[in-house]
Amino acid sequence: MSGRGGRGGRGGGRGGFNPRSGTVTIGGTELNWDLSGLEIQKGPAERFPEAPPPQAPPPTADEAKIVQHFLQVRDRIHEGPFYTILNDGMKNGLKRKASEPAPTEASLFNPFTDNQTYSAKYLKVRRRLPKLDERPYVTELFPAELRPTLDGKRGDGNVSTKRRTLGVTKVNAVSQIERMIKFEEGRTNEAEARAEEEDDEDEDEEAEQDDDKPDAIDEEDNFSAASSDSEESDDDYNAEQYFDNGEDDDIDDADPYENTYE
Amino acid sequence: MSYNQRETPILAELCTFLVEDVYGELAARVYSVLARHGRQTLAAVAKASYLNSRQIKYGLVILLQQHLVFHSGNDSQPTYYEIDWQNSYALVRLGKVTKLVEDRFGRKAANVMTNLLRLGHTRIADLKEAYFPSETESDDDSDEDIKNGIGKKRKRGNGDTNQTAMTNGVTNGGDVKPVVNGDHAHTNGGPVGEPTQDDAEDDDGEIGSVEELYEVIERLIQKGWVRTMTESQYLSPGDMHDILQQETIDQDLGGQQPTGIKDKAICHRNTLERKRNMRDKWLEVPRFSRKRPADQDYSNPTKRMKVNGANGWSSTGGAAPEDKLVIRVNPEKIAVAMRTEQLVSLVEQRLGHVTAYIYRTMLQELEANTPRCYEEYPEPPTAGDEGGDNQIDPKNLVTARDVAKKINKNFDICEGLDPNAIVSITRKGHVRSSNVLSQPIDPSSLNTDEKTRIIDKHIQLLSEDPTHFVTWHSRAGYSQWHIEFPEIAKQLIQTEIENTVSARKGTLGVKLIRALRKKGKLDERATCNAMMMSAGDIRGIVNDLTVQGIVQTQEIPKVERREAKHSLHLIWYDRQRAREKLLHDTYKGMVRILQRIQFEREKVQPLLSKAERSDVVGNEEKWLSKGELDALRKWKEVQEKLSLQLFREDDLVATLRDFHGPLVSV
Repeated sequence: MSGRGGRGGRGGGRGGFNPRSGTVTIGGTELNWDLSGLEIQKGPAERFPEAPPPQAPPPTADEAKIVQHFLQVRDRIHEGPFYTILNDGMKNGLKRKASEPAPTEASLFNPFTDNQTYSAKYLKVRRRLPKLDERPYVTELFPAELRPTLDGKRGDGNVSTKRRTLGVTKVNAVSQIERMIKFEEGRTNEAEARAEEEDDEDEDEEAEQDDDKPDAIDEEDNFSAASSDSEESDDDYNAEQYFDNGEDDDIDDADPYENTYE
Repeated sequence: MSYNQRETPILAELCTFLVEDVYGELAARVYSVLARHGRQTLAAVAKASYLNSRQIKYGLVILLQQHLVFHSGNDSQPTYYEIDWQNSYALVRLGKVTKLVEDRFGRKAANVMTNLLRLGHTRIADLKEAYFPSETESDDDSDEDIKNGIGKKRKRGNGDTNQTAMTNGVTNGGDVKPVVNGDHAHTNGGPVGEPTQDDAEDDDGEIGSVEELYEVIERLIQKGWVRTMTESQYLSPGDMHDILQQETIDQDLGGQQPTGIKDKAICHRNTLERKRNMRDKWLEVPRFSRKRPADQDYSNPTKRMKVNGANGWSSTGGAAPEDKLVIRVNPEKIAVAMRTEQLVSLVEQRLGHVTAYIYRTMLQELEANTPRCYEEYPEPPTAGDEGGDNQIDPKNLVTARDVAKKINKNFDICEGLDPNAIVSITRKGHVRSSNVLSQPIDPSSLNTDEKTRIIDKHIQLLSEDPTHFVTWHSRAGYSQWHIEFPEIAKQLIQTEIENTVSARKGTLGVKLIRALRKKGKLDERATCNAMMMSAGDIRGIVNDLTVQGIVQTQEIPKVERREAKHSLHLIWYDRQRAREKLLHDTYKGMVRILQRIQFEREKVQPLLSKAERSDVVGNEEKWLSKGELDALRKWKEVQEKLSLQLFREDDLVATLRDFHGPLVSV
């Protein structure tokens, strides 16, 4: 294309040479005459060019702190007496339309996760009604029709005589998930430190053996540890993963026309 | 009421999501009924909802305790309930409040504030009792080494009060009582976290004594962050208006319904005044019986709290008269502090961090005297009294000297200024004729007068900025300045709108907005002239911005028959409408973020419930595999990232909604 332009722009076309400025116009862009090393997009433009979504800037120190505070306060409220989970399959508090059937036990049952296993006795039980009789109230501020509720009267009309106190945190608590992760980080740090030690001093094998011992004991009383070692997947009871979805099949990688006649 | 009481469905949805996110499903279900149906009695709620009446009552108690719902009081039966959407929206600011209080008053105050936010309102006596139980148990302190509730519950095995939820409504006291009686400060979810040794750096945030607690509370009340709670604060704006208007009619108009224009004006004016008085009464600082030590300087917000242990105060034995007081967080103050933060960060971008620091000092000086960002019930202007009363309250003025007294000695105030200005103030640092350089100026050795003048230079920078962050007032106290918040707020709003337009339509969109703002209503030809562009180039932008609701259109027929050909088609830009549209869009964005968080949580829900299991808590490294911990960490990142975006959008909401009242159109 570049060779076709010719002196004086003879023949018109797309590659036009402009003798006055000494440039050549190719594809609507003005370029220097010397085109060595220039690569011109000849093909059509990509139909769906890659457009990564705009990313929000990372949090400043203050913002990170705000997020942290929020999660802390919220987690504390979730652990408190007012937090409830109904799990009744409704989206809001309004009455169902007549045409919509009421959610039944069976329709709410998730066969993959809701089957009771032994460890279900450890599951955190979510309350479905708030526990109102745990803290003192300023009864005068509530409307009269709600005051009996505040007393924590049970169905039989007995007033609980429990002592009531507000739950306060004296120090700023750590949010729940932070705590879970901290353990793991501590563990990896330990492991790293151990690895470094090994690198530094080879004669420290005795210490290493000591380190191994607790692990071995762990394996004995931790029945799941052995299996998690042997298999990379850690959720044996997840029925959805029992059948692989074909992602790992070799056929995908191979030439699809391998077994066909050519 | 004001325009921001106007409710949109999207806002109702947002508030319901927030309530659900923070207080759980029961509260949110009851809330959603009230949000959908408006002011309702208990019976009407029960009729509109699928919940049973016991659930509704429980839900209402939660909502009332946390100030998410108004009620109409006991004077007139039946009681009506109505959502308090402003307070419900403020749930998104839980983290911000804590952070702002922590920055201003230290960690102890932040701790008290967090507890107040969690508890709604409370008597001071109850709060004291919770912090410092009057009966001292000797055995319960030993095993409280985990601060979060779950850890303890696991240790106590059967004492998990959550398990009572299984047997709903049935008394299983045998299971619960041992714990609750054993240490009463220790019921579910509200344990008294005892700091452990590894929290050595944390004991800064722990409140050590009853006196200290009172001191913190008193300080927060004085600064306007906490206010006393009265029953009138439960009145919804509509109920309050009705009551006060009736009072006005009874007292000022002799019980006659106002008929004439003049009577109506009087009625309106006096009602507004009553509203202002009532609201100001809520903020009155009650007298605290304890004597304040003489050295305490309460006018200084940047000063840290002094710990004065037991210097001659009466011991905790006697009940103080203020124990009866009921206190709650003052929601109006939060917007004031958020405004300070936003302005300071804006100054930091434009003029550098030293000037921003000085500006922050000025703003925080004013914060104590600023109960709210704008007057919600302004006095209606009277005829013939235009612009005469431009008196500024001396409490809203700041001098450079005030700032000089407040700022940290070691702070290098010379940074960010023209060196020549500093040299001309200090009269040092000349290059002599003998080419000997004198010693550089040490900012910590400046005397107060020089400091004042240097700070004044910074303030001048602020006032010369196109945004006019400060305005000169008088010469008293070297130089006295005031801050025209309404003007700045308007500019902030305009900037946000222009930012949005420029992100959506590029510079041409902004050009169009500015042209329309300057010229008013234009038809196409006039728009082309004003923008010096051809009609074809403009049309696309005008169409898009009109569809997005930022540019308004109007059609004026020129002939009797309304033919398009013979009509004028005008476009114009209305700041207030664009602002409301943008606010609406922002609410929508926040709803989407909350939905996204919910979805992401559902994805990891099995893992989360495993991690919450009582045998796993505390033994995460034993029972959770590496993959599961990675997934947990990923969920944490996702949650934080989305929450961060939520709070950023909340900042935008504050700019658009909270810093300025409704703007008068065109």
